[in-house]
Amino acid sequence: MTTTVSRPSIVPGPRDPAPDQVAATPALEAIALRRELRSGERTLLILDDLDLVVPHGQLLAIRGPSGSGKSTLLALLAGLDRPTSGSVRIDGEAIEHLGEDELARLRRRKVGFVFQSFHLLPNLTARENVLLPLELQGAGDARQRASELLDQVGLGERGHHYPSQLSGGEQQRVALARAFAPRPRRLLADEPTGNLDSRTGAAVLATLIELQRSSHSTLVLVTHDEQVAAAADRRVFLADGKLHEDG
Amino acid sequence: MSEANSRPADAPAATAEAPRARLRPSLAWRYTRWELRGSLGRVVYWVLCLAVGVSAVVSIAALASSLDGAIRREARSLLAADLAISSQADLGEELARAVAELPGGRSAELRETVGLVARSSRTPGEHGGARSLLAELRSIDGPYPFYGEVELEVLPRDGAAERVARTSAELPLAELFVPLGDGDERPGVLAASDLLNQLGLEIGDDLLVGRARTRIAGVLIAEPDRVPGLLSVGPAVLLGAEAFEQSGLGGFGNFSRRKTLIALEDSSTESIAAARQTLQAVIGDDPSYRVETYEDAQPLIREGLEDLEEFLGLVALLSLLVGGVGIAQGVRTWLSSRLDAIAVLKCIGMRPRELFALYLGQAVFLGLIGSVIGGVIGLLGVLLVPIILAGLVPPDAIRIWQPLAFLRGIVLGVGTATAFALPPLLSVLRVPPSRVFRRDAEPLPGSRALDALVLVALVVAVTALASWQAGSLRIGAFFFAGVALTVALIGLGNFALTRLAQRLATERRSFWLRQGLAAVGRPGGGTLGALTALGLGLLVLLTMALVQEHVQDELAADLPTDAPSAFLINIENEQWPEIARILEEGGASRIDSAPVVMARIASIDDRPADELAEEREARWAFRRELRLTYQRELPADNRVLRQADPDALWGDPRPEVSVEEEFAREIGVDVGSELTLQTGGETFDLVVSSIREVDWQTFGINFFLVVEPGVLEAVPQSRLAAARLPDGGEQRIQDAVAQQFPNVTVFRIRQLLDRVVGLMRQLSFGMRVLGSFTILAGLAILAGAVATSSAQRGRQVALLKTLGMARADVLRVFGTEYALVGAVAATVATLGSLVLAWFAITRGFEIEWTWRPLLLAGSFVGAVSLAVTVGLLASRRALRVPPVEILREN
Ligand SMILES: Nc1ncnc2c1ncn2[C@@H]1O[C@H](COP(=O)(O)OP(=O)(O)O)[C@@H](O)[C@H]1O
Ligand SMILES: [Mg+2]
Repeated sequence: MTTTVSRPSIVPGPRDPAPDQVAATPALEAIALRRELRSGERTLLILDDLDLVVPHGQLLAIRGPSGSGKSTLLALLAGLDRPTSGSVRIDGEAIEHLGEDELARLRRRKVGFVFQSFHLLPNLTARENVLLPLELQGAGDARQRASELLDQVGLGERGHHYPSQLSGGEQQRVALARAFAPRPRRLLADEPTGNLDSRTGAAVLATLIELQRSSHSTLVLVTHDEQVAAAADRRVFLADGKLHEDG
Repeated sequence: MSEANSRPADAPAATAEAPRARLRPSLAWRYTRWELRGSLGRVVYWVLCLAVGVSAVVSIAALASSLDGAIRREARSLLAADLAISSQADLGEELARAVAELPGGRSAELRETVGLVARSSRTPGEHGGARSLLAELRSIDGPYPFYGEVELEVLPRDGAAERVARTSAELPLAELFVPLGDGDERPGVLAASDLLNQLGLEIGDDLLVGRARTRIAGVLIAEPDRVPGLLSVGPAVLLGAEAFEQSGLGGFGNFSRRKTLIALEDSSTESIAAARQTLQAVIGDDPSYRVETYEDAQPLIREGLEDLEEFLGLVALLSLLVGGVGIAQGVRTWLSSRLDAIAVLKCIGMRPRELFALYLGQAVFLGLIGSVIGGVIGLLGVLLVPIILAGLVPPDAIRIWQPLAFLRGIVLGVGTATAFALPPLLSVLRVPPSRVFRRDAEPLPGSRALDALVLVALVVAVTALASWQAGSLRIGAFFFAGVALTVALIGLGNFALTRLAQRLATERRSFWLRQGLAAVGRPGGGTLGALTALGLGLLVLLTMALVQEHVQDELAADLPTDAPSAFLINIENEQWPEIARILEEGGASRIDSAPVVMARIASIDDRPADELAEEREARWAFRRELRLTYQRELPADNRVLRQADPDALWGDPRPEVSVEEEFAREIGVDVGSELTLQTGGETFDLVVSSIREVDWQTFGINFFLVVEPGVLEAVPQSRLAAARLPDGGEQRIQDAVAQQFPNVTVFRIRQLLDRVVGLMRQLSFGMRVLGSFTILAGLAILAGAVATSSAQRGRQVALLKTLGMARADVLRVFGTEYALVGAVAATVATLGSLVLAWFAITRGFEIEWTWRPLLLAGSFVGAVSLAVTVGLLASRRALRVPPVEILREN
């Protein structure tokens, strides 16, 4: 892995750890991760002692049939949900003993999200949506960075629009800008193009990958699209609660 | 690699961020603004919930402080002097000298009593109405008033017929009181216009005041030291000392009071205090003389006001609490529309406690908006009080700007909003962030300790607010317990009824009813809060109405048939046979009379009254003249409990006295005690030979002390009579007595009770206005609950319309639902108020319970129609949703 000397604005700033440290620990790890769900009388096994290591800077594509547990896996990786057993490590730090408060802080600093259904805050403008995580972090250059990011996703002129005034593709671009704004070292994207038509979806994905590459962040991307998966550093397939190497 | 370098990759960033990890106020404020965007409906709802209660609280506080302020401001004129000495008897030499010697002191003597005034038979013109009436007389000797002005109307000297307004400053009263001369020797008096109207008199006509024939010199409009409207027995008459002497009404056996008004040269606080001390030194601890300064400013009225303020303050707080229930409901619906946003915010790293603080901050902010608006309305609302309580509260007593009252409203409003918002806000903590992937993700486990803590906070907050309003922790705690119990019962009742509704809905009902029943029974329909609030409001109003109606009807009811309906006082003994004849011929029944002697207790068992006054319960009995009688047979409503001689009431050779049981206990005598009385300059040694019990409820003539005949016959005395006057013949008899025996005063009980009832009506109207605030708050909440669920309702409407339902049909479904909501609330409230009112009426007031079907049915129908009206109005938006909308929802 190499570093460029002059960084474009989108590239992680001073918080970026030195490259030699990055190599030391993986960005994300799942160790014997198990998730059971109670559904009435029966217990469903969604994830079956699953193991996963995602090194820094990798683009990992996860595919799998609907209902196979991809979203569940992402939620566990981000500490949004708690495993039945097993462990998730972020930068080598196990997160299962952390409280909701600490998990939130951890996400604030280290994890970004992109969702299938965008999940923009409806009563905030596009710009305010991007601004929010930055302000939450207390970033000094929040306003400038929000503008840059909106430019970057091609929505520089639409910052004052509310989500309801934007198309699906535009909303997802805002969501991308919001996810990358606080310079997270890792991003989790759950079928980000699932609600978009194929052309719009392709454009959004291109933007996503471009952002990931230029910021050297780690990206776990859940997708159905084989072409997209092809662009990934590593492809896995989730079925029967286990990960299989994919193509 | 150093230790720092071996830490996880992002660690340095984390350290850098740590000091700023708290949610910054600027962001919180910004987010609050973002949240408020496009939620005008929510703001309006909060304002409605709070403004009603806050404005009630503020109005009450502002009114009380206005009146208190007015009393203090007008203190000097309310006393019309710097100091005053009130007494029964005249000042006495020593005290009179002390008054005269006060530096630069001037004084005026007022004497006050009630007596009959009458139209003279010589007055020309026809008059079909009353010829006599009971008036409040006030004689003035000296330069009254020292402060303030008497307002009056007189005929101008040029002989024009139009009255002109004057004040005592322009036209000294003493000038009005002197006879005109030139053959007209009638002293002048001022009489209230009521009196002139009732007796059909005009300025210049005769007015018989007791035995005095006077001339009406002018119309009395206002006196500075009389609070208008407060319970008075009749119109006021001002007259000079000489006319008063002539009337004979100031004499013996009348209830007359003296008031010596004093104005000082130097009326500074210090010199007034010094004067008071001088006078008090002369008076010693003789309680029959009371010195007050203008700074005491009507202490009785002010105390009464304070009590009233506390009571009304709690009623107002109740409507605020109803609003609180609405807030709790509102927060719940608000948050349920924010679950996704909250999950997203958690995802991007907002901590649960930050989110909680953020939403709590918004609740406080909204509470502040609602309270400020309510506070302003409340301050303005005080202007209405003189209109509602016309005659009781003068408009110029009102001061709108009452910062303390306003502040009280804000604190109570924000406090209520916060306390009631807290419990539902806890759900913010439990929103699962994984909701971003699955709508039905399970909520995070809650903390029982936190739940308990918030509940405790609610209890403490409400109790504290109530204690503040009531000015007493004990009353505050009782208030809280009462409200909590009531709310719990209402909630339980509502729950049971909605369950029942659900059950009924499944059976074979008409389509509309089934839809409506299902809607009421639907869990989380947002109606339970509205039901509780509406129920509480109705309960308060209905209970108040029930109690008031019972008490008023009791007072207005006919007197017991065997009770006298009038008392005649100040009869001279030799006048009695003729008066008795007038009564008999007028159709009066149950005529009874007794001699009245005024006497002081000089000693008991050789211990002087001064000493006894210190230790006995009834201090007053040793300090003033008592009315007593002598008779051979005790009245029928007396029962002897114990007597010295078992065979005869008056069996002892020594002079004897019979003492009423309770009075005997209070002055500390029993059979065998020796009681020495002083009257007409003589002393009489009596032995207590019996103790008796009196049934005061008969309204008969009764005295604490009854002396054996043959002892007091020679001392100055008058006669008291009682009779039941025939309906409609009362005025005729009174007129006849007034004409022939002007010294006699007739008290008609019915007339006096009617005045009490009138006053009560006015006050209770004010209270109902206040009580209806709770209903208003309840309706606001119903409207809010309907309006905030309008999106959901809109979808329901769209769906129903796609299913082929016409607008009118949808209207019917909704109408049925709201009618049922009203019916459930009214049922629970009616049951509750019946229980409460029954206890208050039969146990508290000891009045017989009667059913009020009209009131109950009226309130039920009222509640249902209000609920339907408000509900439908609030669902207007939802009703307009076109069916295509259903396709737009994903
Ligand atoms: N909270 C839940 N309750 C019940 N079942 C759940 C819950 N969350 C997920 N599931 C089930 O777990 C399985 C995996 O879901 P998910 O992770 O959303 O799959 P994917 O994202 O791969 O489509 C599905 O069968 C889903 O129904
Ligand atoms: Mg999924």
